[in-house]
Amino acid sequence: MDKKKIKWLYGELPLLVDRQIISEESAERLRQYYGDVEEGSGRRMAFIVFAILGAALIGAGIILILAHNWDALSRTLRTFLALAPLISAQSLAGWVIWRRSESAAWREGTATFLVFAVGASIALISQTYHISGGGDSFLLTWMLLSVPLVYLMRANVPALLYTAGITAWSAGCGSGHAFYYWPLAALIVPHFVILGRENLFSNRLIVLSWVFTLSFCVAVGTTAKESLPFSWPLVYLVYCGVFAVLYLGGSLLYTKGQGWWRQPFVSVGAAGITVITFLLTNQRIWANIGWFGYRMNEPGAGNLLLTLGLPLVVVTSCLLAACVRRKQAGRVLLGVAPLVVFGGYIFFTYLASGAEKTGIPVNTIVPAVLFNVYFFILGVNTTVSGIRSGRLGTVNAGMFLLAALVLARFFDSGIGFVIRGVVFIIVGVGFLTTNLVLLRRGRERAV
Amino acid sequence: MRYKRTVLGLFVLLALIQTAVPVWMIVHRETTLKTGRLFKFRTAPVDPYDAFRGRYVAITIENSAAPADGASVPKPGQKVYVHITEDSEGFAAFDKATVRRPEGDSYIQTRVNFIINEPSGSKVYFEVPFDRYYMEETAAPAAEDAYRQYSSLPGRSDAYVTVRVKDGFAVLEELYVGGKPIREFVRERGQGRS
Repeated sequence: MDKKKIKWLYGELPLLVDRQIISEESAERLRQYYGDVEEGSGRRMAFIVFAILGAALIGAGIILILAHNWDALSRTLRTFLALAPLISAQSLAGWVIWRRSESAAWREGTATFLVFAVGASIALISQTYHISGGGDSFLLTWMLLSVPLVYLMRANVPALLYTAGITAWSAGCGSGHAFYYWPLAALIVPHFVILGRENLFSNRLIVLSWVFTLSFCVAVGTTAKESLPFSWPLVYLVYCGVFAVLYLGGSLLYTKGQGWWRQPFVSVGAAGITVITFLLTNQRIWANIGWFGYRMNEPGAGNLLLTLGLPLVVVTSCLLAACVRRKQAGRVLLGVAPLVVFGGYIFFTYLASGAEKTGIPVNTIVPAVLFNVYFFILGVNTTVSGIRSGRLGTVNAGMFLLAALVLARFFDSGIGFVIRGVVFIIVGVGFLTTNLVLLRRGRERAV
Repeated sequence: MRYKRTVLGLFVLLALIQTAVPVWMIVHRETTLKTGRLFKFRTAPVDPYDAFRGRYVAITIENSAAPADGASVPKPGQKVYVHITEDSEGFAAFDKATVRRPEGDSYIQTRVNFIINEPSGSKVYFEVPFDRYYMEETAAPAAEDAYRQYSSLPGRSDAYVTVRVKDGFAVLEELYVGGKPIREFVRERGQGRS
């Protein structure tokens, strides 16, 4: 559980005992159950952050100074310069493992410095010998030489740098190795499990989860692009499925009532689903998907929709069922999105491929209308649930969705400036009034 | 204590690997520079706005594609051996690309970028393993000027690189502009101006 909440609970306990809501015994048992909350953790955290920042700055500084590429230096001196920061960082790290292994600040700081030192030494050699190939093999070598530090020094920053590094390497323009991202990313999974077992809501795990989730989303796209060429219109379905799995899986993993920052899987999933469904409200996007429909005659193209879509549908359905069983039915409306997208694809793809034979122009209106309705319900639902729970942020998010939908449809159609202007004003007034009403209501309640 | 010892032992192993990689990079290149065979490659005229990227001169070799030779045409991404020949002026050129390692010492090992099929046969476009020349930050702008001027002269380019090759491994040795190493050229030019 979140340490802040435990602290709050401990603060409340004496009051609860005083008012005889719980007995002294129960209070003690609660304390035993949740364990100690360390005091002074804020200062310790600041120390760790400064250690990491300091190490990263020194490391990056060394790389930049070496990047100047001093022409006057002989190759022997350059060899020494390439190895000196590396060996000093290694000695420091060795000392930390032996003498200061209990200090997170020392471990994180020296591990970060060593990661940069490895990079600096390879970079200087690349310059001295004019090694070609851009950042390609350089980045991979650097990352592979750094990743064991995550485990040997129990350090999180090398894990963050590694995740960013392998993402950049695998997603590099025309790199051709997007698929290798997955085995490389698997190297970091045990670290995830270790952190999760210690504390599901520690800052280290949350920061790593954010970086990893975003990197994962990039990798899905690059892998799909590389391994399934000519199937890019399917990308909406694939991404929607991935976001739904993140969203629903995250909902099952985290306890309710955490802020959006503390549940990255849910937040990224929800944001992703919203963006994808918003895109699918546009008729032009469906015209492109229809283009995929025409390709159905090509061998394998039709099967691709089913081979990719069906597993996504099955997984999403299982997660939806689990959410309902755990009384998280509120997650269903967003979580069901991949099923709606798959339905739209099936309906539209077969309609479009039939249309080519019959010569009837493909009607992109039907699926677009379906998604306009879905997105509208999403907006209304968010607004209503915000009003019910009295959360102004949620209300505004819902209204933002509705406003985006209205405005997008107005830009699509050839409606004149005057009417557009009037609609803008109406939407703006709607925003202001709702906020004023809710604020006043909140104040009345407080009084 | 035992756990700590194991971790430290594993760390020492990691530190050795971390040091061995750069040391091997240095040794491999130094051996090639000392014992490899020397080739001179003419650089192609370049797009002046594309030549200099930060701290290095982007080098384009003249005719950096070779016809596929032998029964099997390599695929993009595949390892390939590109044979090198020398003309009467002593400049090197890429002759043909094969999947099998040739005998002798006049070839480089690299990877295929893409293939273009022509009526006369398949042409292999490959990664040239010497496509950049690093320079000191402050010398960069002058070097860019010189390379641009001399690599796009009417007729033939007056810029070339020397490359050492050993067992298919190539290391760029020097970039020559106007018959001089580029550092020297830039230095003299700078003195002439001031």
